[in-house]
Amino acid sequence: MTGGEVLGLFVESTGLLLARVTLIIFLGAYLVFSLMIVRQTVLLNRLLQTSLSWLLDLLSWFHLLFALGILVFSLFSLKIVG
Amino acid sequence: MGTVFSAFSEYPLRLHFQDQMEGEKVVLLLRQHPVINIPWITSSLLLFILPLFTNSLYNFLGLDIGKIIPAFFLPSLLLIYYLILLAFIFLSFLRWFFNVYIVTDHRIFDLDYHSFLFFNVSEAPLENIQDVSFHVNGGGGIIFNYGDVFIQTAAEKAEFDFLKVPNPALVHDKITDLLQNIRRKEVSP
Repeated sequence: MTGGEVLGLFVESTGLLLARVTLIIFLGAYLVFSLMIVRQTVLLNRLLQTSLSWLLDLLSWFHLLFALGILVFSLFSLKIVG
Repeated sequence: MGTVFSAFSEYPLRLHFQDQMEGEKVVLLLRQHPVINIPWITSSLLLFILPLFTNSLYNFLGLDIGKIIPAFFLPSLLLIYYLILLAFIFLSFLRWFFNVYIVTDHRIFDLDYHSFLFFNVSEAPLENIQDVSFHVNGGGGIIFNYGDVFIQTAAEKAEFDFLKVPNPALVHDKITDLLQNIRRKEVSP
């Protein structure tokens, strides 16, 4: 293996690692964003209570769980965990 | 359910807002005309089906997606795409649903939900209302009969703007009728 090929492999593996870490950091930040959506929905439902309030709460929680599910899925599929 | 999604409802049932006094009746519940939602609904539908065509698009452009993004990244990226789309749809709906103008037999209550994490509430007693006016402008306003109702008050917030509400003439009538009733009561206690 030549020096150029080794360098190429190093750059490729570092790039992939960087992409994996960036994706996980993004998903972690997104989880915080999802929590803020839940909190905001609760506050808005308190301001205006309709027969739809429970559904909006449920949807905001579903979004949070969806984000959490993707984070866990990504941790396994990108072989960061397991 | 008709009342819940309604942009114009008189004496809505099962509706309660914060600090609503006992015996205080909600006379009008207003939101922006539903036609306002068409742009975000259309773009959401297009964005929902967009991933179905990405492969064809890459083939058309002569690109190999496997060389640009490693295969094991694709499921995560696709899920993240739909997660962001879900958030966009949910927040767009919230922006319409929680942008409400409420007229009760005591006051006007304005809940403005501007964007994610930004909303404000203002209210003024009906006695403080000085002037009510409305205007309809633009093609959309003429076709779908929506417009802006402006309420001048002597309260801390000088003007309440009910923007793009359905049937602004009727809203104007309802508010002026309420004001006349209150002034009549004040003159003859």
